[in-house]
Amino acid sequence: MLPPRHRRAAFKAFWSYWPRRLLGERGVLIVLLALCVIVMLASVIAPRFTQRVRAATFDQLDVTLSMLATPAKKFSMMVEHMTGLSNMSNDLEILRQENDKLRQWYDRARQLEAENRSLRSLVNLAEMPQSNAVTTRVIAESGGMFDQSIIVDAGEKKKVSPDSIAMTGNGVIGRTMMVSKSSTLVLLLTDATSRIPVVIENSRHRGMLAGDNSPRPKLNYLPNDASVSVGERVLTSGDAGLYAPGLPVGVVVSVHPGNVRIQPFADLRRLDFVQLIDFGRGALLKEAQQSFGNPDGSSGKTSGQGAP
Amino acid sequence: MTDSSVGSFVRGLILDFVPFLTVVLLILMTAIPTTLPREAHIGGLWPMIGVAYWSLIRPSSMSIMTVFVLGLLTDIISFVPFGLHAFVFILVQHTIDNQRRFFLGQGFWVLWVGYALLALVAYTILFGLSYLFMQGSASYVSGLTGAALSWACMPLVHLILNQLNHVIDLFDEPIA
Repeated sequence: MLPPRHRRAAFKAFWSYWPRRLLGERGVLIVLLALCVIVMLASVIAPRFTQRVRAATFDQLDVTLSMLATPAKKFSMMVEHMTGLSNMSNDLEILRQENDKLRQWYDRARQLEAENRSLRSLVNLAEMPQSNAVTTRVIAESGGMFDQSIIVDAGEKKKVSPDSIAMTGNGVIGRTMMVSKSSTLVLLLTDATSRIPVVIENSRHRGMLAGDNSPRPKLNYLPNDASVSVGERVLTSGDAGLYAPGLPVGVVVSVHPGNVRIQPFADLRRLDFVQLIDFGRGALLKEAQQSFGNPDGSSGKTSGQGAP
Repeated sequence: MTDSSVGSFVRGLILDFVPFLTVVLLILMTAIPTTLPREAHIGGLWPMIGVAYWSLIRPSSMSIMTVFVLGLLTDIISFVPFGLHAFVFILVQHTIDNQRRFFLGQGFWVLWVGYALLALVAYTILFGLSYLFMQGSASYVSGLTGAALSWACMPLVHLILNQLNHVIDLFDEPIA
């Protein structure tokens, strides 16, 4: 076996010297740039492979990222704590008022739940499949300029379903894109490829919430006669795909002809913990597709990219 | 293994891998969740500071092949098509390699201005490539916040890497 010094020299020769010797300085540059373009094309043509490589990498980096994320989060919280001290008394008063309101809403919700249960049994309405939820911590997030996704530290080992919806206490934030052994890639609703069928709470106008990598996604395909006003709540319609109906998504914040924007209820900048909930709709859809067949002959499984 | 061969091994390890590992650390830092607005996220421009610094100061530790690998790792971590950052990092390394004579010996302010130009060009290329390969899903202007932030952070990263370089210098002396 070569002594360490020679091993290092051999590695350097293999890594740096021989490519230059064979192709020349400019040749190596051109070959590597061409390789980059080929890899780019390949990863666009075969996104599933790219996602698999990414998921496998994040599986390996899971512990390292968790270790790095904890002090970073604590530092952010410390800065927020310091800057928030002056507003503490005001915040406390607001929280008290909100708490009083929430107590009233809680009682009302209990009454409605009981009423709903008895009405459902009266009309013999089919029960929705039970949901399966996994709460998990965010360990990584995308660069933001080109993509809006997060990685959470729960995967197949914690029985995360690939048909899960990602939510916080405030509302929907996206859906799972790829589940690996110990991590899951979540596509946020602000991503340019995200599409969610939604309904406006009061008017019941249906539309499609389309992300465009901006903080406020756009509401598309509303009926021509739809009148939308600022402040209206937007919920999932459950028309297609994995999203169960009635999940809170956001509120309308700007209305211009052909451009209705919503602000998600969940604060996507402060995602510490998220819930991955499988409402069982993926299984239902597959069952329906098997029963009724698919007109296009495909398996019916969406690719994930932009799937509602 | 004799004492001198152990020393040589450790020395080689530090000289070759510490710059590489610092860039890997910068790459991992791009993925850490923060409370910054998402448009202000720098993505691959963090590790680019490291690539630019080591390409200038220790070109032997930041060869074009190493830069290619670091670029691919950045692509994996940054959720963009593979090869995007690798392409830009290779161009950055090549530019600095060609301009080393000019940059070496210049004051920090010249380096800072140089980095501003480099970051802007790199960001524009990143944006152009992403426009081609990702159906123009990104907004050029909103992403500029990230480029400006990387430029603003560059002195801090430069200072840390400079201190690290002084430590590496201690191992760069020939072993007696």
